[in-house]
Order: sequence, then C-alpha cells, then structure tokens
Amino acid sequence: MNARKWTILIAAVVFLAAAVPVWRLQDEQIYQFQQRHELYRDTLYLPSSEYVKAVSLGYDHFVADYLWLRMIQSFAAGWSRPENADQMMNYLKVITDLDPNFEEVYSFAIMAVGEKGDRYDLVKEVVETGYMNNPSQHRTPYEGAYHAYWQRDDARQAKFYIRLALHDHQVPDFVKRWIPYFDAQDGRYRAAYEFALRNYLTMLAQRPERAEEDVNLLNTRNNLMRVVDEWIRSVIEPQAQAWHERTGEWPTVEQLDEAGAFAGNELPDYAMINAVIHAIMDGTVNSVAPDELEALTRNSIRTWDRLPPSPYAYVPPYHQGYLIWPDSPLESGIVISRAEAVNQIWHMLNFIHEGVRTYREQNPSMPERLEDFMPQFAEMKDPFGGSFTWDPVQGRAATTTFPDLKPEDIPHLY
Amino acid sequence: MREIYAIATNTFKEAIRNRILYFILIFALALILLSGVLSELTIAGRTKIMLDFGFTAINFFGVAIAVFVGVSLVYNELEKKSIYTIVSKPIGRWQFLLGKYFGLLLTVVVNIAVMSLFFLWLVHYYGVMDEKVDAGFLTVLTTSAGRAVASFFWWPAYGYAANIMPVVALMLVELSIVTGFAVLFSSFSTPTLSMMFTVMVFIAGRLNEDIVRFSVQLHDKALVAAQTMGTTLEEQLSLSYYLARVAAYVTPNLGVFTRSVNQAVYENQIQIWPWSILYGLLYTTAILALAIMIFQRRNFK
Repeated sequence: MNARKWTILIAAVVFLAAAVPVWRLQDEQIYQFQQRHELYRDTLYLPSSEYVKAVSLGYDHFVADYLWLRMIQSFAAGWSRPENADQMMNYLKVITDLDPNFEEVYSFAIMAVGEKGDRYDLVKEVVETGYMNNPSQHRTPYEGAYHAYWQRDDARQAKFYIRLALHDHQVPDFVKRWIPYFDAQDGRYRAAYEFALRNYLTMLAQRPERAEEDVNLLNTRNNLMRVVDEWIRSVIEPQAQAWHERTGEWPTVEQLDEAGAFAGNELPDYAMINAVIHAIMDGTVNSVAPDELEALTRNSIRTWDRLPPSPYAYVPPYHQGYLIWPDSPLESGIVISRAEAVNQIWHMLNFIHEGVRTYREQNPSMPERLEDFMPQFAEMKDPFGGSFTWDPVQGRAATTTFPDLKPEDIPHLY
Repeated sequence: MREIYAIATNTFKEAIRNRILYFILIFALALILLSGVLSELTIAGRTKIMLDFGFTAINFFGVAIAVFVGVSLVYNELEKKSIYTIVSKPIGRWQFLLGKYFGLLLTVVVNIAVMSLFFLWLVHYYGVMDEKVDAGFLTVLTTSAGRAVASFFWWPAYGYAANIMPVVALMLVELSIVTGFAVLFSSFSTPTLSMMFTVMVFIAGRLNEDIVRFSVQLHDKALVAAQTMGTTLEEQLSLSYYLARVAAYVTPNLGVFTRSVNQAVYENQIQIWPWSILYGLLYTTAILALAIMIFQRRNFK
C-alpha cells in the first residue's frame, strides 16, 4: 500500500471516528430540542417612546404599525403570564406616542391588561391615555366603561367613562342610555330618571313623527320606563322585606299599599310624562324648550300617598302594578312588575319546551310529568303564585295563572 | 428654456438606464405589496396598516431615488469629462444645473407615479374584494385596475381612496426639496459625501419640529435660571440654544408635508397648511439658487 492510499485510509478512519459520535450527539440534540417546552420570549427591547419617535424620522405610523403587529403576537404568545400586562403597557405607550389616534391599540390594551391580565389599575391608565389623546372619540372610554361594569362591577367608574365618551358629538344613542342604566345600578334613581327623561324628550322633539318606528327612540323610551320601574321597585322591596321580618309572611303589594307603606315617597309620575310624550307625538306640542324641560323633570317627581302606577300601564290590565316573588330566580330582587312577570313566565315556558326537545332526543315518547325532565319547575311558583303544568298529550307547558298564554299577550318591554 | 429641457430629458434618459433605480423600484413595489399581506395579519385597523405602509414605501423609496440617483449627477459629468463638451456649447452653467435638477425630479415623479398606481391598485383590490364578495379573481383584478387608473387621474373618484393622491402630491413637494439638496451637494462634492449630506439634511428636516421644541426647552431653562439668579435671559442662554435656533431656521420643515398622512388615515378630508406648497417651492428655489452660485464658481480642473 503506497503512501497515498494510507492517507486516504487514515482519513476515512478519522472521518468515521469523528462522524459516528457526531451523529450520536446530533441525535441527542434533536431529541432534547423536541423535548424542550419553549416559552415565548419577547426579545424586542422597547426604548422610551421619545427615542423611538426621534429615530422613526416621521415614519411614525409605519413604526407604530410594525409595533402593533408585534404587540398582537406578543400578547397571543404569552397572555397568561403575569408580566404580559406590563409588556402590553410598554407597547401601548410607544405605539400611542407615535400614533396617538390609533384607537385599536387602546381597545386591544384594555382587553389584554384588563380581561386577560386582571389589572384594573392599568385599564384605567389605558382609558385615561386614550381619552387624553382622543378627547372627541367615544370608543376608548366606552370600552373602558364596558370593562368597568361587566368585568369589575364598578358602575360608578363605568358611568364616569360614559360621561367622557359623550364628549364625542357623534356618539351612538345607545351609549347615552348607559348613563341612567349605571346610575340606577348604583342606586341613584333620581339622577338616572332625570337623564333618561331629558335624553328621550330631546330626541323625541327632534323627530316626533318617527316615534313609533325609530328603534333608537323606542329603545330610549324603554330606557326611561325601565329607570322608573326600577325606582318604584326599589321603594317596594325594603317595605316587603320589613313586613316579612315582622310577620314571617310575604305581603302583596296591595297589602303594603293599604297599610300606607309607600306614603311620603318621592317617585316619578309616569302618567304625566306619558301625556307630554303623546302631546309631542301628536304635534300638540312642537318642542320642549330647555327651561320647560327642566320644569317638567322637576314637577314630574312628586310625593305620593300610595304607590304610583307602573310605567307599563299601556299593556293589558292584568299586566299593571307589581308583584312580590320570593322564589325569584332573578338577580334583580324579589319585586317584579306584572308586565315583566308575564315576560318571565313566557321565557320559562319556552325553556321547558326546550327541555322537552332535549328529552325527546334521548327518549321515544313524551315525558309524562314535569319532574321527569324539568324537576326545578315542579315545585316552583310563578310570580303570580300559580304552578307550572305539563300536558303530555298536547306536549304543552303552561301555568295555572295563564293556562293559555299566547305570544300576543307578551309585553315587549325592552 | 430649450437648453434646460434638453439637459433634463437627457438626464431622465440617463437616470432610467441606471440599474439602481430599478432595484429601488422593485423594493418599493414589494413593500407596497407587503402592506396588503401584513394588513391580513392584524386583528384590527387593516386599512390603516395598508395606507401607512404604502405611504411609507412611496416616500422612503422616493427619497432613496432622489439621493442615490441625484448625488452622482454632476460628479459623473466631471468624472467622464463630458462637462467640457457641454459647457463649451452656448449653455450656461445654471442651465446645466437646472436641467439636471428637473431631469432628476422627472425621474422621481415618474417613479412615484408608478408606485402610486400600484398602491392605488392594491387599495382598490381590497376595496373591490370587500364590495363584491362573490366576484372572481379576474373581475376583482380588472375592476381594481380600472378604479386605480380613475383614482390616479381624478382623485375623488372613489371615496375610500380619495385621500391617497393628495398625500402623494404633498410628498412630491417634499421630494422636490430633497432632490434640490441632492443637486446642491452634488454640485461641489463627491457622491459619497453628497449622499451623507443629503441624508443628514433629510433627517434634520424630518426632525425640524423637534429641534424647535429643543430650543424652546433650552429657552425655558434659561428663563428659570435667569429668574432664580437675578440675571438677564441673554446671559443664561447657552450656545446650544443659538445653534438649535439657527438649525431650526435653516433646515427645511419636512414635517409640514408628512402631516397629511395622519389626516388621510383618520379623517375624511386633508387640510393642509395653505402655504405649505408655496413654502416647498420657495425653499427649493432658494436651494437651487445656492447650488447655481456654487456651481458658477466651481473650477472643473
């Protein structure tokens, strides 16, 4: 064997001697890599927005968009980690310094730091920044209000945000309706009523001919009626509770009224308001001047000797007035307007019929008794004190109060 | 005028033969196309991202063309000695320089027009897709192309794209200033230095308002110091303040022309400073006059 062949042989041996362990090590590395559970790390170093703004050379929007796409990725990769909220805030600050009108970033940040990050303090910071940068835009404070109320049960803060949102002259009407809603939730019924009344009458005076078809107008009127309804219910409930504590029995609203439990209460006179509304709708009154509106608002609240009529007096007679429903599954208390009670019964009957459908998917025949598929309704009383019944022959649920309730009997309240 | 026209057209022909121009254009079109792709990645603000990326691409690559092509314009003539042939003819140096400037500006304008058309097509492509959900690819392509051409010539033709061309027009005013600087530096310096100078002026121009802000800060600081120490304001004002003031007045305020991007993205109407176009034109005139003064005295040996 000559020297050249020896060289090739030695090289081949060395190659094999090196390659085999390399192969083994490579295999080990691949195995380890596959086993490794990597956490996403946002490696982007975000300097102060002042510097970013300076180096962006006027291409602020472009840089803001790039960071926005980065922000979305960063959030998606690590939203469950506690430090994510702070990182989101860093992004927000830099992006909104570059492009203060970029509203999507504020909305996204509210969701990221509030809903996912559980940092209410940061949500407030986001809303404040958003509002300061865009004082005439309603979106950020509106979403802040949504978060404050629905996620944090903070009606007062939510109302404050809605007040900020109203600085936008093009704010949708439904946002305005949140003010009385939050006030009522916070127990500030008078403020809620005054705002709802002013809001509705101002809107109505602008387009009276459309009062019966304009969804916004109808909703705003419902908003007013709901506030009046809640105010009246808030007066009934403590009296009913006190009666129950005293006697061990639940009274009827009529019993309380007869006993003078509601004398001296200040409550709105919805019948009077209704007359004004109809006068505007009929064209008898063309508009309501601001001072007249103030006087009307003031005068429509008066001291009563007995319980005033419910705002739902327009529905059939058996819907008027209030009921005490101790078994109420609702969160809004034990007092319910008769109109709402009929509504609730209708929903419950629909729920029972849904239950029948589910039952029939698993069973060939109709259930014989209510207990067989909806046991919770077997013992439950409806708001009028009637029982729920089930007719297996006709496949129909009803209550003893309304053995034949039809859709046309249901008042459309909200 | 005829001399300027002849030199301008020659400069344009020469510039469009420059390969670097096509590289820049390809990059620009790619970035504009990317704006459409990236806008698909966002969860909100799709149109905004598309507009921002498109405007940035047009502006940035417009500046790149002005700088890369502009800085070697005069230098190449000197290097190739072709300047001697030109100046030996009955053509003034000022005509030569203006011809070079307008030739370069024409190159920039043509490239910006190509980019704008492409950008308009992309915006309309997504607009048509949103409008005609069931339309086939070819229908969307042809309709959007037609709309792009219409929007290019008649800006308000389609509401959602009505703001694009006004912004591009303002960018052109900005680019006319940058091109002026490229020609100015090119008239007395080497391409590398000219490029550096032009880019620096562009950066300073974009930061002009920050320079003003900085000078105000220095002024306020000096005012506080003067009140505290019981001296006059002039005694407390530092050299940095005077330098910042000079820089603020000398550098072009290019922010005037880019502000419209914000309006195009967020508002229905573009409202610009009424004097901005005149400001741009006068600034360019001043720069060109300066370039002519320098070039007149330049020794070609």
